[in-house]
Amino acid sequence: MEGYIVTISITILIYMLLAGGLSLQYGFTGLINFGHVGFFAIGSYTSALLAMQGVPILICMMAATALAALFAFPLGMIALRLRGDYLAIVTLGFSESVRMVLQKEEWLTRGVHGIPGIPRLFGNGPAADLWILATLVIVNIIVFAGIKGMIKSPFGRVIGAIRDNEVAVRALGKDPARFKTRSLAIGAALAGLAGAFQSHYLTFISPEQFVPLITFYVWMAIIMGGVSRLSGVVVGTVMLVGFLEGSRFLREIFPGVSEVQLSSVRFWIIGMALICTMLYRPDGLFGERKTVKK
Amino acid sequence: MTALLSVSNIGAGFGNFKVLEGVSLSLPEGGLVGLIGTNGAGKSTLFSTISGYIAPTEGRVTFAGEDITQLAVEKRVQRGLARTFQVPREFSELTVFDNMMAAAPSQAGEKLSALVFARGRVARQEKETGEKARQLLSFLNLERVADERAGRLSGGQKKLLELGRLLMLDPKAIMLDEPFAGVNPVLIGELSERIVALNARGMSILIIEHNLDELSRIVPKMYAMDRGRVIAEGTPNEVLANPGVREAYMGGVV
Amino acid sequence: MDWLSIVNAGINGTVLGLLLALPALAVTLVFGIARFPNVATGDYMTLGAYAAVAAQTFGGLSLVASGVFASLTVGVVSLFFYFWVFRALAQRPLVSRLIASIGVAFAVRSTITFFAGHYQYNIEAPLVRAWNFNGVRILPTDVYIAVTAIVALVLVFMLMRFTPMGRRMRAVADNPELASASGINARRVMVLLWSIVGIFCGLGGFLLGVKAVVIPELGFELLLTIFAAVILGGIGTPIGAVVGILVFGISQEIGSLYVGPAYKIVMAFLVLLCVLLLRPQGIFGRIQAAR
Repeated sequence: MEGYIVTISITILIYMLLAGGLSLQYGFTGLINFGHVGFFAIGSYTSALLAMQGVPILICMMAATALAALFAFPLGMIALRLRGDYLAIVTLGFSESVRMVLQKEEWLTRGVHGIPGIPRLFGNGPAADLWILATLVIVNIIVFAGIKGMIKSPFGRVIGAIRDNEVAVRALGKDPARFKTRSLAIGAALAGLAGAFQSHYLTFISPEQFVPLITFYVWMAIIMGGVSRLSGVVVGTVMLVGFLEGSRFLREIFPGVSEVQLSSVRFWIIGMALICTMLYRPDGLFGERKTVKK
Repeated sequence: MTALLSVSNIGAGFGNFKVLEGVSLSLPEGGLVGLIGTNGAGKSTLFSTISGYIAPTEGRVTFAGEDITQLAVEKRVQRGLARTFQVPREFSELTVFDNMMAAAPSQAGEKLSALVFARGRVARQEKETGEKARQLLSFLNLERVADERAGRLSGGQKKLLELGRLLMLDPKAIMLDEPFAGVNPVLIGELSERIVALNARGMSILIIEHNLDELSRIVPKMYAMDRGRVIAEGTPNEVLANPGVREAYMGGVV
Repeated sequence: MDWLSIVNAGINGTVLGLLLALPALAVTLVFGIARFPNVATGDYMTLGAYAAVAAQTFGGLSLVASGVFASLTVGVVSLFFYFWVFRALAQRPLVSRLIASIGVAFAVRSTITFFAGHYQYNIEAPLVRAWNFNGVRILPTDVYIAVTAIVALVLVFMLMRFTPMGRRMRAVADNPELASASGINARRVMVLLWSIVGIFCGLGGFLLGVKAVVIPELGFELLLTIFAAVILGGIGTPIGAVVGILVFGISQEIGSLYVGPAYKIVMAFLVLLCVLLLRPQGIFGRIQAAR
């Protein structure tokens, strides 16, 4: 039983890093990132591949975080001078392209077969999971404190101004695209870090784990919690994982349902949830622009 | 006095439709110059060309000896040429004070690396910028509302705030787009005084206005535009007596 | 690579381009009139293909009849989602419509997979041998596909150009405030828009299903190519959508001869980046004024 709680908690904390990053990008900076899973994948594979070559895990994770952030820059500089929906399309294309490359370049990634046997964080002992959990808790605390700090800083002030009136920011001599790109990069870095944790916890990764559905799981989490409230991010993530885990038990209740049908139902629920929150519960999300609640 | 800002032979338009044609204008260093014209004369378009929001189809914009015709908006502002807008563009969700703080240029705190590695410097800069902001707010008589959300201000106060934000940049020249529009008559007087005071301190100022009375009182030199061209230039009296101007303003206040 | 392969790839690409022009047009119209990128386009296509399979399997309908059934089905679904979702979100910020369209895409696809699973299906079309002109192969089915697509495109272009409704659609696309001030009934325009979107996506999905296998990802995997093509041609311009997707179709098929088919998405993505970097308004588009 405790083992199960530890597992769920680790999943929650990894998703929380993802959600924190997306919240920074969308809730705080207003960037429509539909390719979050792409940065997750880059972090995951980078850390895994380096670790398989014998690089110490800590270095791998740092490299994973940095590389994910790096990819954000060309995307940002190209798409962020244009309308918001261009970024959405570009990031979606980005994450799908990443997935295709991961599937195709078998010499590097073993394609659809995935990469098994990734070195585990803290080894394979019985207490390893608890160490991983503790590390994730600490990392999350540091990350969220950092995000809060960013929001209150002069950098955060400009981002708030950009959300308010981008033309006026340009009229004051600042380039909004630069600031937005930095935000995009930090969010991407967090996704990369989450990916690295994923690799060294699950010890097996494959391209299937990085489909667009994951991006929208994370969107669902931040929407449910309230996109620009950090506390909401925590709540939303817990709700998301609760839903994902809970839906697994549906098979016990409805024995006639096949695995495929179950995943269809999950998929359908996410779709409906996205539609319904947009229709019926947009408050504090997309109605008025609010300053980020601290 | 040398021209700080000069615009020569500017043309702009879409396809065959010309909004501006052959417009030339100059703002001397330390000058205070007005620009008048009826609606649709192209005044705002000219401002947008000078500030960089619109690319001219012909002609040149020169500022402090540099050809800035193709330069991006932000870069022109960084060179010291700033403008206000006809409809104020305050950051409505931020407080008046934060509006001013957000405007300050070259803040270390805007770089993420500084936030991590140079916290002391960031804090010091915040303090200095804060003092400058409060001084300017006081100059503009806005200290009372410093902690109000900027969206709640009256039209006139928003215009003053826009001016304040501009001044945080320590610009060399500012362009004011209808600063008196929508401002109640009492505040107009205050605003005028501030503009003259700034000019007295050496700020070069170019003003678009419809309020010919008030404008004539404060600027020594004026240009008049009509249908995309400059039709008169000189002292306010000369310009307002110009037959072409009178005709364009037929029935208007002269 | 000999010329013959290239020519044959080019022909294949043209046919694909023509049938994809239908959903591409749907995308560009929604972008111009309802002002958002409709991510559900791909899954509307998928629905069309599956509807045709269902029509053949359960209804014993002929090929043409199933095609009509597919188009109408998706037309109805499209109108349903307009009335329930997109109409309510018309005044809200862009993100709402974007995310809602993702929700619609997921809902449609999951409904399909719930009933039909992840198997491959086929739309039964008469098996006819390809015509062979000195090595240049042309499938009769492809000709029918191309002709159907062309007819549909011409009809819509004529609708947009010459009918009062079409003019109203273009007015709303150009300047919604002015259009509504002039008394144009936005509701009627929207109903027409989403009907066209549904019919075209359904028809496009059906035609694609005739040519290729029917799988749940049928539409979604083409989404990026369609969007890239629409942006290349100039978002909001119907002629741009058609030109863009033809360019993409042909170049992707020819390109696949060299790099293999798996990289179509990556190629589309790279082209998209280049277009946005160099000429974001596309070939036929106009530069959008600064806000």
